[in-house]
Amino acid sequence: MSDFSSLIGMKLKPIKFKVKKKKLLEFAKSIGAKQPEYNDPNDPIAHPAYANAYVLPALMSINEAKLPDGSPLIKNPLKILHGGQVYSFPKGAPPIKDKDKLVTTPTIKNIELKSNGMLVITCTAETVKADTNDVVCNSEIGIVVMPGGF
Amino acid sequence: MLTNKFEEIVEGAIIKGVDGPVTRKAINRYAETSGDRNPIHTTYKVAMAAGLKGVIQHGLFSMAWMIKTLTNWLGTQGKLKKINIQFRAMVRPNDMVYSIGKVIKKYQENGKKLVDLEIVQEAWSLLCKGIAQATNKSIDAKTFENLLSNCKLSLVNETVLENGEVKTIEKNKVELKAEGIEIIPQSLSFWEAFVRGWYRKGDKIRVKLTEPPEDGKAEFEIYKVSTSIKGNATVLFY
Repeated sequence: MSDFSSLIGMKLKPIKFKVKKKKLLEFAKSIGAKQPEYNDPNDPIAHPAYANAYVLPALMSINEAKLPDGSPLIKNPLKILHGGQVYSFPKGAPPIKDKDKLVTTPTIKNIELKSNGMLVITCTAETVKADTNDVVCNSEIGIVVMPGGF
Repeated sequence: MLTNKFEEIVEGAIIKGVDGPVTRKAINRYAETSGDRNPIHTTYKVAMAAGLKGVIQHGLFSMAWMIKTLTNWLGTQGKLKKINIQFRAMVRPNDMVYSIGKVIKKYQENGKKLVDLEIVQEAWSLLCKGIAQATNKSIDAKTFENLLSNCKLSLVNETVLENGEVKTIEKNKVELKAEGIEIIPQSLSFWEAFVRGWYRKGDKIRVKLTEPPEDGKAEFEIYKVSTSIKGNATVLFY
């Protein structure tokens, strides 16, 4: 049985994300968000659900976590399921716009092997604007790894 | 849509949004715009190899629809402060997705106007379309739907006895039985759902008539209803 406790509290590599106007517009369209602020062809702001795009790489970075013996925590990424997600948008957080550079820093908060053989990993992630350090989103990601995946 | 004026919102009020039917084209487009190109969402063979019985919609795409329901409701009156969800069931192509929010608390805290909501999202998978004929020719739509809701869905092998031996003439035939109704299923999605394991005995189903019954006869649709998302949210009003 692998010892996962050594990974709790581990900070994963910060993820950089550059916001592009075209992507903001396409994302709003893909989810059917019709409000003008998300669809302004000149100066759109990110829909709150766009956190999916800039936080997702943090979720994927769990694939790079390694056990103390150097072996990967996740052996088969296809066995990963998304268990839950939390987004919290701080008071006064500036809107996300074209050309913003975001940095998301994920941390492994907990790892628990369930009696049904599933491994449940909880990561927190803080996303800031790189140039001002303003926090734009705090997230928590629940990852379920099916048996055979770890 | 429920009022989005803070002063007029009452606890217990419901917000609803509907999206779908889910298409593979929409899933592929979301994969591109969100950057989530995990092939279990886009490539049938990979999804099957992962044991998922076909491609599934991104959980975060479903969550985006939930968030959109809240932002559509809020308009310019407020913004999403926090959302906390669990993914409960997979959403698949052809599903209709209903996002529902229920106001559970309206309050002011440090001068901020806040509303807490319970949120739930249901995925309705069309299992079967068909025609049904009730014995009672003056049956009303509600009674008809209730009778159909109690139907038993199963796959059977149709057999005949030939020269003393049981011979299968149709394997995995869809059978729907309900008291007081003769049912003629007409679509194969139920068969597919059953064979692939998307539908299991005991799953929650909902029946909709496409139009009121005439002379005890009606076209119907049967959906499997899954809770795809459950959680809570807090919104801040300006």
